Amino acid sequence: MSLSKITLGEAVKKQYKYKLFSYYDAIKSLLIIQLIAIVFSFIGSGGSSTSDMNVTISVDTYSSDVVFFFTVLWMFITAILLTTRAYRYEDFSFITNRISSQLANTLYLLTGAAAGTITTVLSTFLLYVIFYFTNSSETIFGYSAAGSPGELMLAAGGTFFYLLAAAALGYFLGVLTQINRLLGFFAAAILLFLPMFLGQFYIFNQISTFYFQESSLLLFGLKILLSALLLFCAAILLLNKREVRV
Amino acid sequence: MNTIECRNLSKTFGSKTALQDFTAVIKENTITGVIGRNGAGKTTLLKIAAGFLQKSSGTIQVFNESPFNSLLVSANSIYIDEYVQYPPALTLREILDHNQYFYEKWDKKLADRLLDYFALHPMQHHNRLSKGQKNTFNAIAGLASRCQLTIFDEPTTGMDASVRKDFYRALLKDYLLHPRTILLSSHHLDEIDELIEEVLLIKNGTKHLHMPVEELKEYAIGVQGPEQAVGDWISNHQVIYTKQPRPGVAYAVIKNDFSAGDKAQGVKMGLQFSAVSTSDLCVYLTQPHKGGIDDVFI
Amino acid sequence: MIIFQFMFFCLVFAGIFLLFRKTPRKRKNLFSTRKMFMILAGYVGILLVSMVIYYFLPQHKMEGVEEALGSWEEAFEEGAEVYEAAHRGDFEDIPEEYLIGEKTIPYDKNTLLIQPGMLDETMAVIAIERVENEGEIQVIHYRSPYRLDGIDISHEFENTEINTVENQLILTASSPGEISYAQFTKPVILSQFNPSGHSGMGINYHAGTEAFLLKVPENIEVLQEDESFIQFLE
Repeated sequence: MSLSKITLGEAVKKQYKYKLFSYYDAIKSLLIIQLIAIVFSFIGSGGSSTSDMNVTISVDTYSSDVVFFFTVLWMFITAILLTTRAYRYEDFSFITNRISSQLANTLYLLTGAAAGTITTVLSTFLLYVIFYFTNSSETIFGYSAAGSPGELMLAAGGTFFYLLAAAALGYFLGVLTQINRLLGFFAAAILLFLPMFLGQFYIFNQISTFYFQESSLLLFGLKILLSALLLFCAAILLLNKREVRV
Repeated sequence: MNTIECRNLSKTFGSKTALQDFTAVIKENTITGVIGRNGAGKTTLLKIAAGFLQKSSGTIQVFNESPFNSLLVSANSIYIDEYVQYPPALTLREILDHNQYFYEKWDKKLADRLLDYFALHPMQHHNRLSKGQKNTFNAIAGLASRCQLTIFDEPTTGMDASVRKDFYRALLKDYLLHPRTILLSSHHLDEIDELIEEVLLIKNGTKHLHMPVEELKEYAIGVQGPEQAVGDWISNHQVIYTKQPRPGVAYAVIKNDFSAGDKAQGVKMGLQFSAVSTSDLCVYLTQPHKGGIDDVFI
Repeated sequence: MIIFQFMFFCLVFAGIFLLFRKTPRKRKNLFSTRKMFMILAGYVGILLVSMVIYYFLPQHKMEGVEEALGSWEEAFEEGAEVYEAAHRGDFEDIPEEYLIGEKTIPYDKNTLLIQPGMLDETMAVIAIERVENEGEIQVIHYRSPYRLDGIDISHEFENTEINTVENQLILTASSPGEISYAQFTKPVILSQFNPSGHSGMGINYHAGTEAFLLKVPENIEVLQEDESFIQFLE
């Protein structure tokens, strides 16, 4: 009897490659959501106006922000979906254990965040070109424009870390929901609803300051990376004793 | 060398006990039929062996490792039933390609030929197949993966009679060429008793019987004759099953452990002895009560 | 806080999504995964092409970038400079480029009533200097630029007209009514990592500050309706 040997690394690599080529829905929804966002960027573009005694100035603003927000949403939902039963069971139709399956999920989400970042940042150019050729009002370029290459790199870094945060949070909440539906909803409520109603509370302000007011990309990235690592580890531990095909 | 060793293995789902004190050894390179009624614990046992479910107590060793979260077990075993899930985006061709990528011993030629033989189109999607086609496809994956431990749990559900026959034949041929440990669960022992070498009979979550199928054929014998005579004769023997085919006539299945003298005496009393088919025997052995469905209607 | 609101919406979306997902993975597949990848590659290709086009677009539309002021404070400083210099009477301190024009108006009346019109609602300064040469009034007009997000949009505003009718000096400020612009802003995320830059939200508009130096002969009596507005230089 000769047994096939496989290391954890190989198993993760194979699972990752398999996921990359079979998760049709994730790619499809990224494309659809970005196209919708691009359309939205023009239909519901931001605008503001100001007036003094003798003039009213109105400015319609266009940017890739809608694409960014939609892509973060996509990442969040994709991460939740990866924890659902169908996806978890599929992994066990091939060679895996729970750790390799989840590490591959983590890598897949990282890849998704990278793809989301590239398309989001590049969509700025597409939006700009459409804006350039369709816009009839006079265009002004002030402190704002599509952004210099350096600024785009900065935006790309920020976008990636926000997507990573959305992925980690979504994955963790998804896993909690898989363990216990109520637990998942409670965790989501605590994370998302309470800060809205108790925004003035010290702890939530601290959290908000800790992440969203960090102006150094490096430190922000570090904070997000560590938090994501924590969330993914917790998720992997939580699912590691979970049975499949029950 | 043993492929699977279970000792006092138990598994509970909430308050329901699926396996209790299950002890058995599956030897390397055998085909074992896992037989039992619905809910007897067959699927639970097989899923624990595949590493899908976690045991509640006792021990189970597959390739000398605990199967739950074992990569060695996952790499050398495949579990096939009608619920095997594949990503819906993939075509059958792509699923086979992924299998080839994962399983070291995958036989691409065999998979392609079987796919062609069973008229499954490679561009079809798994979730769009009929139940029978799905099972046929899953069985192909199970055969071609050549895993040292290949588990088929009710693999033929929904298949046409001819496809079933073909599948069992393919299984046997491939097993002879590439011996490995195969577990095959089914309610229909008569379908597979030509194929399997060992029978593992499970009743109420415990091992009821585990023996080579040749022994099982000799395990019991049927006795038929006048009610009084049968009653007298069997009183000294272990009775497995009784029924009354006609008023005044009795039929009993008893364990085949009597002497030639006993038999001669029985013949003298006007009893007829007949062999019991293994599948009937299994039905009798796993019956929850003495007597059959007929007794419900008394 | 936007982030929290956004996350709330995420959750609502996700909730709806999960609730209505009864048959999770039984859908038709129009394309295979490979085709999906090709579509994705096509999309990225279009994005890359737009990037190339972006860098090839004529540069004149982007000239504004060079002209723009770096910050809100600079635009404010420009106006303040004109205002303060005019108040002090040091018109020679006002930068040369803010000089809009000089006008000499023949004038033979004994009194002068200044009608500032809408100007008295703005930061405009009117300063009067007594001079000896009779028979004419000299008007020197300065104005700091109108800026929108640091861009000089003064060309949209006509110069204030200066006329005399009877014994009145009438200043008529121009009113372009409504001006609309379109603007393409940088990703909002930059505001977190580049706090000194513009947030990309709201408009940053600075009206120009006007200053008028009126050289009025000593023999003309200046009548005024609003004392605080007009400044007499010694």
